[in-house]
Amino acid sequence: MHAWIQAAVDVLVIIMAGILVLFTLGLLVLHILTTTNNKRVERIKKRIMRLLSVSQDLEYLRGQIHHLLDEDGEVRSLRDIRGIDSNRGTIAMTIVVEEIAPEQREHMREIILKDSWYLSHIHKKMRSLDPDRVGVFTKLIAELRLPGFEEDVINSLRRWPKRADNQEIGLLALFRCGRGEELISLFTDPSFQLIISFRSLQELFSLYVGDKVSLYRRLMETPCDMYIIRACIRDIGVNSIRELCPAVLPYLDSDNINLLIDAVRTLGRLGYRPAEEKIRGFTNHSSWGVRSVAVSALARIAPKASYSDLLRCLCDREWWVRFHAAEALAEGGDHEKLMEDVEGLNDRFAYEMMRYILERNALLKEGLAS
Amino acid sequence: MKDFLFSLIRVVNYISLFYVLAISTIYLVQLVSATFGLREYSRSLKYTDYARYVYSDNMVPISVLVPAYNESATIVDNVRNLLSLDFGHYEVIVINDGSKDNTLELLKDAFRLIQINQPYKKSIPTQPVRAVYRSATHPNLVVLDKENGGKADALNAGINVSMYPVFVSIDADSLLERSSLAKIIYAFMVDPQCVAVGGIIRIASGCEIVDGQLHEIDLSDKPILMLQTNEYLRAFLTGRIGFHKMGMLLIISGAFGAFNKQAVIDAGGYTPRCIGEDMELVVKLHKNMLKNKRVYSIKFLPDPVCWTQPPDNFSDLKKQRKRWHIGLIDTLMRHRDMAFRPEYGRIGMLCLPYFWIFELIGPIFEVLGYITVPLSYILGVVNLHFMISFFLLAALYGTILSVGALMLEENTFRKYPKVSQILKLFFYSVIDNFGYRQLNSIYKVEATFGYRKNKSSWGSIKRRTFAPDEKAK
Repeated sequence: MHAWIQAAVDVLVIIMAGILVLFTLGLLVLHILTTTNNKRVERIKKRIMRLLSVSQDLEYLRGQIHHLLDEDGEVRSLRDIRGIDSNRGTIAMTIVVEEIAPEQREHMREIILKDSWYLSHIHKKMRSLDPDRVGVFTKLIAELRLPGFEEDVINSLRRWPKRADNQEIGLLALFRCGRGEELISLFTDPSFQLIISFRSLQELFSLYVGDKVSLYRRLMETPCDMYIIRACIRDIGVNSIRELCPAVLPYLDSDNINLLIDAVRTLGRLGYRPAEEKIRGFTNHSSWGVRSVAVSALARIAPKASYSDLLRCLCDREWWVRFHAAEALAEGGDHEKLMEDVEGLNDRFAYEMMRYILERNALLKEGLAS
Repeated sequence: MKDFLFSLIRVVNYISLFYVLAISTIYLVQLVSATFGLREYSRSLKYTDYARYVYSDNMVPISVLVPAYNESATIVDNVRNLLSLDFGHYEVIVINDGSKDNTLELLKDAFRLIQINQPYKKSIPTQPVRAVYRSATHPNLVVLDKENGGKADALNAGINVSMYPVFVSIDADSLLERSSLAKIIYAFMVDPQCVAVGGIIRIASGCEIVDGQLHEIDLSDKPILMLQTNEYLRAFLTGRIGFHKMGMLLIISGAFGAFNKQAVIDAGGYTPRCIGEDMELVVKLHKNMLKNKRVYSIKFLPDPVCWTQPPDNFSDLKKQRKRWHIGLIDTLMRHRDMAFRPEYGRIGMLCLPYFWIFELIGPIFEVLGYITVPLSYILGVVNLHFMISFFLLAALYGTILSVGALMLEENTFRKYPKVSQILKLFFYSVIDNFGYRQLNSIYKVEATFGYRKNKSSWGSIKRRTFAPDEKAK
């Protein structure tokens, strides 16, 4: 038994020592390749380093792309850049896109669109089975708003339905290219499932470059994911698209609490008077989330006419409703009269909340002024 | 009798050998798993775009919670650092947990704090809050002054006062890189099921820090700090990523972690007077989510960096390590009902048993082995060959792991670009196996046997400022 264990240990020691030597050599090689700054050594090793070191290769490619944009004669077309058709080449392109000014970005876009070789290269790579590679190319399409790749992007979205990062970058490309038709058909397709967060979706909607009114109207008329409708409603509020308020109004009857909250918030934000009475009714809703949004919305639509409702909501049992009611009431001018009215409510929690909001606002005002 | 004693020593030898081999093999598996995890992460960074969200209205707004107890040495630098991060909507809440030094006074002076009557929702019970202060100069700074109740209690008070759906906990002796908040919170944007994310902790000693900002990354000259630098690299770049990749992350460091507030409240918040409150919370989150059959994820990201001050002497190191180990024992004891229960999935069937066997009981056999193997040689139970092989194997495994972690660092983040720095790290990754590792195991054994006595005591560690320290000395 002992001899057997000893033999096993000896073998393991040899294996481990071998691995350690390999690791040590690997570390040294890696370090030399990534950090050397000796120009002579660098020149000699340039090619090898480009082959082995990602950062060196990216740096070279980045420089070449800048030469192309600067039109200094050193590089005349994308094809002249050795390695531009590699994955690293595309990564370098996306790095440069983030570095350059908008007008240069437009110039880069023109260069790519004129280069049929590079366009077919992107098409080819978009059919890759490597999600990371496709992700990088999709990012380039999104950043430069390159037209003609909608089908490739949609195919990639369907190829990896469970990868949130691929879904986000794919949708970003469609939104930034203003591909409304493709987005509508994708979002209304029951086999397509959204897996990105609601906030990410909202961000994508905010980046849409096409006709938002038409897109939102059509999406809200078609049965699709509740997230989509919510994102449309929110963006209508953020972008003050008043002409779509009538389209939002029916959602005040929704059974979905989140949808209802978004509709109340948007209509309140836009001060849409036809929604006033319904929203007033929501200040008594069983969900505190709805009540607290309704309070703020009501204060925007009809601040004076809602004074007594806001005072009532200041006595709500839920902290957040009291908070929003106090914030809404603090928007009014006469704070002394307001505090008198609040004291008259004989509600300690209402009083404390109102006092806090007024104190906080005064403190911030004073601090910012100084 | 002699035969029995010899057999006993032999059995302990074999168990120790088995332990060293098994734990090292597990760590090697983690190293391999971490290699793939890091590769995947760094590849996805090429096309994910957290920067787009930094100042977007659609980014999740967050509350940064800083529990502080006698942190006068670093608190002002720390808060300055937190107020200057690249992030759109966030508030910083410092919770002064009944400090006996002038932590609160320093904050009042530095940030023009004014007491305010702030009502807040008491979602989690805590020790009484004496006062709430807001800064007249920084609208997003809130300071709570409360009676002492420990770190967990302070964090719970911070959760109660916080306004936003996600909170980040950070230690008062730590600093974040400007982009760290955005990077860690981006995980919540990408994955709606995410309830907690941990970032990497690195050692700030040796770095140049000016006005709460990290100016230059460097290494310390003090061996004890270098050994910890190496240890942190290994723990985070292999251990945490490895566990994350296997879906079994059980620890999010209290020094830097982000949590979904509602999920934490649903789990009952941090457990007061619990020493390992960070690990305990993560176990509780797993338990709550799995029990309620909810889809969730708990992640570790190797990129958002938090720089921290480690103990710079062996006395403080011992206190810290004992505290960590008591925290581990405490957590495992509190949730012993989860181990080997299929309803808790791989957490119950693999992860917790691993912590019980290898992290809790294992060090006892490791230390026993350090005693019995030489003893066996003296008594003639084993020969010199066996004894040397035993120690050589343990040292080789340890060195491979450390060098492996260095390779991962070199291939991804390269925070230490100079040749001298990499040589220094390499040197300490070898040295680490001859004394430091054994010392840590002894601290663990001491903590295990002193668990009952010390499970409620914190042990205070001397804080230092972020001013240039050991390099200048």
